[in-house]
Amino acid sequence: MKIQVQYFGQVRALVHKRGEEVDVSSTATVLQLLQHLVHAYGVALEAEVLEDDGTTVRDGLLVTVNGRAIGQLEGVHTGLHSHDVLALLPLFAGGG
Amino acid sequence: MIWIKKKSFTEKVKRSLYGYKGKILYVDLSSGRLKTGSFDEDFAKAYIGGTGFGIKTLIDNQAPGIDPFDPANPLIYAVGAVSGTMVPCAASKFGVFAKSPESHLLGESYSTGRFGAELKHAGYDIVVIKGKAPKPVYLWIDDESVQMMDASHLWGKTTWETEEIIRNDLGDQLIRVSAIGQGGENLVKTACLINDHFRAAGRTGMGAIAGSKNLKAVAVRGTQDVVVAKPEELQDLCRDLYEQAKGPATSKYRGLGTAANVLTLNAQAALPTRNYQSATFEGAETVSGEYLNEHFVTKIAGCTSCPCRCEHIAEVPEGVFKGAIARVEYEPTMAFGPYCGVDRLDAVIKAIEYCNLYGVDAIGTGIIVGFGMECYEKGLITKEDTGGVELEFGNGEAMVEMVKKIALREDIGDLLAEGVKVASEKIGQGSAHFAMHIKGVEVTGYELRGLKTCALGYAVSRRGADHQRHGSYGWDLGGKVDRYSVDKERGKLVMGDEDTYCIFDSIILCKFTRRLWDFDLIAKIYTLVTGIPMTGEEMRLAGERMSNLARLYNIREGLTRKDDTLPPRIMKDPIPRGVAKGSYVHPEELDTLLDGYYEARGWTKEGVPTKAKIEELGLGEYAEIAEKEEP
Repeated sequence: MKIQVQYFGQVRALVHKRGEEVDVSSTATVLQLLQHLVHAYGVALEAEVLEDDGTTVRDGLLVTVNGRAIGQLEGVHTGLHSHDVLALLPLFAGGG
Repeated sequence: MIWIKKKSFTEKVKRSLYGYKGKILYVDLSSGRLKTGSFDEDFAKAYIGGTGFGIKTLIDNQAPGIDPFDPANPLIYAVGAVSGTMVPCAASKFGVFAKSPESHLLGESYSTGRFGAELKHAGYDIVVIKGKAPKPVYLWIDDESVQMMDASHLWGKTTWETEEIIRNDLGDQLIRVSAIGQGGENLVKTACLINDHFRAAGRTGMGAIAGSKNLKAVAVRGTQDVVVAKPEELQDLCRDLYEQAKGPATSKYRGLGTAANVLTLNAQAALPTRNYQSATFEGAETVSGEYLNEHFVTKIAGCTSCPCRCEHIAEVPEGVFKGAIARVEYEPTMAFGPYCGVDRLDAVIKAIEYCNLYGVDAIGTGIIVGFGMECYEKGLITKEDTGGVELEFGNGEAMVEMVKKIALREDIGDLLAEGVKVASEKIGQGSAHFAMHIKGVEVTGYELRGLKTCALGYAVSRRGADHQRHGSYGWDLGGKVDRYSVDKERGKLVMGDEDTYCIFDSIILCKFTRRLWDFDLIAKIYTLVTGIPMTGEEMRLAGERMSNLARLYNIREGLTRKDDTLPPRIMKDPIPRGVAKGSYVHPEELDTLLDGYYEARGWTKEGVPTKAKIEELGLGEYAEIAEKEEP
């Protein structure tokens, strides 16, 4: 099935595109899609997306499916459906 | 001719405190008198520095209920506990405190750069400035020599001109200057203090307080060491922290910078747009951090002792605003971009530059311009009022011109300079519905209608609408809670955030490094610097103490539960489009959130600290404030 992936922030800078359509199996989860992307784009992307355990989304990165944070779904085990939109967004905090 | 009141201090402060200088400088601008005081270890441990010192000094030195522009309202500078040391991302910070002319409650604002470390090296942890000079002056702190200098030739100058003239007059290019521009002189309610060109103690109108005192600037040069308790152990720990601070935990701040939040918040329908009429902006791409870096950023710089280097200095290369230069972060980008419907970064950069030069808060002033734009489009103010400016959403030139008019109080700018609360009261005709402020302080860059934990944080924030006293948007945006619903448990989350941020702002740590720190580590480094034993739990308790003392101060100045509220638009108008479409904070939801927060805090249903809580936190001397509120 086809999933629309949107890139923002440092991830966009790494993959050099705003988004793309990715083909995954009909039973794919968010984690499997992220691992698919890491496989396609290499360790630099892995460092931005996943913690060292390879299964946890890195702190400071927001992953949404159809606009909803995966934390409010089933986390990285959220099942994907055809034509879902998955976004990788940097989450900045005010500072100074 | 320079008017000088000079006093050299020979008083020796006993070496009982490490890290701190242990000295408070008191300045009376009315009489020209100067004196110093000291504080002991108990004071230091209870209030840490920065925030804690500021709130404690304010409540103890300001007569209850006075007008913010009363000369007796003290303007207080307080540096962090570890300012001036090698602790990374913490050496340079300072806070400024006074009763706010916007909220008539606690005013506080923080800045960084190099001024804070210089003040500590000059020998002071706290400077308390009272009174009103008979003519413009600036305070010149040259180690132990403190002078009030004539500033007549600086009045009417921008902050950058002021800094340059003071350095040249005094013949030292390493002098650090915290100055007001025309905004502060004109008592613009969002006036701020600018140091190191691009750094602002921006919020709650501290620049207006300086202006009301005829105080143009504080200039400081310090050459004294800050003696720490355990230098070798501190050095070892700081070496590790430097490496971490250069690593992944802060790379996004160094790389893209906070302006990258524009697209994130736009995607999440959490980007305040066109004076909160929308939570998404169709022009977000061209005011994004990504676009900024590609087309405008010319330099990345950092503060004293900071390995993160987050300052994205942007310059306009061509066009009508060619040559404009500013440090660009998310908040001012939001305020002068989406909030005003402007999709041009050249105009955003120019507006921020004007804010720095005239010395007005870029967040609050942008929100005011957005409010003016909605008034203009609704016909509540006219082209005649604006002095010919077509103040429509999306008009970048008009936006820039209006910033100048606000700072100089020209045309409608004179009214807008009072802030959106007062301006809406004067304009009337329903404009209060879209006057986006809390406690008189303009909103910041998180769309609260679809971020309900964050909405609570804003509603109870001690300095009015603000994301920096709690950072509670993290729960909502990070998906750790349901951002569209409420429950009483959110109160615990906001309370924890507030107390943590109190400590961050007391040490004072840059919040960009928040992922490096917890209470135990902060306590450890505090002890290495000061020699004062401190546990993580004691540190947390100090944060809670500060939150409660701030609440007591605000209650003393007239705050009640009804002030812990949100603008009408947030409680009535649903978000019109985007993933958060339909969301708003119903008044009953706000009540649920407030009840949960007060319970978590151990306060009464009216939001007053209980006697038991006051005693638990060692604030018994202020119990009378709460007792007056008891039914």
